[in-house]
Amino acid sequence: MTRPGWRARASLAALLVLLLLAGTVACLPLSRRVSAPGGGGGGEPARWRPGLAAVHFLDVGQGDSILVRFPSGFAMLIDGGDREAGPGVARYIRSLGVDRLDALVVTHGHEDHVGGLPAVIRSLRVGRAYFYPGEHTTAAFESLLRALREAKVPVSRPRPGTVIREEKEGADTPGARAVVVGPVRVYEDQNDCSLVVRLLVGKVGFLFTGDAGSQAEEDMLAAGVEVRADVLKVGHHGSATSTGTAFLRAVGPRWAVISVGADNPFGHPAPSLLGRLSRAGATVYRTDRNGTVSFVTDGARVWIHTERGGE
Amino acid sequence: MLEWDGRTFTVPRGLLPEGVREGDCLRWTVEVDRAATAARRDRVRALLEELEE
Repeated sequence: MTRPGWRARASLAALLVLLLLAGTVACLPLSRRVSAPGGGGGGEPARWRPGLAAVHFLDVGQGDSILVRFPSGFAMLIDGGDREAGPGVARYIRSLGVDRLDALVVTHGHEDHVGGLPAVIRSLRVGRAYFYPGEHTTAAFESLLRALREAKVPVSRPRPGTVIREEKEGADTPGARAVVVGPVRVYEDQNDCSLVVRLLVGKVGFLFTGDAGSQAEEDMLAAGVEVRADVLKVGHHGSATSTGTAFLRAVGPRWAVISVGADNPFGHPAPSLLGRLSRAGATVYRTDRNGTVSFVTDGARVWIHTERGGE
Repeated sequence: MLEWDGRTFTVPRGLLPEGVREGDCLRWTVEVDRAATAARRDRVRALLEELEE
């Protein structure tokens, strides 16, 4: 996958700051592509099938987009990358044979999480959107709301403890449960308002933290929220100010996925964060190096597929 | 491509005044548009109220 040089992006970042100050939103002219899913080998389940769950961390460059398929086929998308990434996100989801998103989780209003969603909403049927407890005054956020209105998609504002989806364990299927665990209060900071979702498939746990920062993490711990997970979507693209030591200890991930663009101007992932993940013993996958990273589980075993590269 | 404070950065041509040529010095003024911000906040809140169930 070819990406434009970050020299241009660095200079664009300076411009972006100026434009944001002016209350204007610029669309970065970045070339992004999401590739079709690759196959596994060695008799492992390469793809989702009934009775398995799959979690795909899509390579959307500097942004987030995660597709979750429950054992029943229920599909949940968490964020949709930026505007450039949107059509690729929709194509990827359709390439998996999914044409309806039963749940759409909007972790927060930043463009690198919601900019691509209008294209996704126009391409796929959406059952219900779950919003974080906040709003944003960007054109991207307004476009998202207009797309939801056009598609007649209802919006819910879940609280900690709200169950987005629960499936019972059966003879050939593990139980699965997606529950909102954060934020435990409302913040002025858009990132800290990120909706945090914990997914449990059988005994295998996933935690999706959006761009939540250390304050939101500490508040979740203080509130006694269950955050333990085998797979952690690392907060805020691997920022130094997310995924603190205490939070990481509470999550105890075996695998950590960082959704991040190559050579981004923010320095993500931060070396200090990578050090914390290493000390915690987590195996790290990065979308800038591994492309789209997919986890398939039967509730006990986990198979990991990367678009390219190893760990 | 603009030069500023010893660095260069790219600006979409549409943000530059008509008739600008390579080598021209530019004066850059950025203002916060509070009225537009408030108007968008009102639109966003109205849309959210309409969509929320």
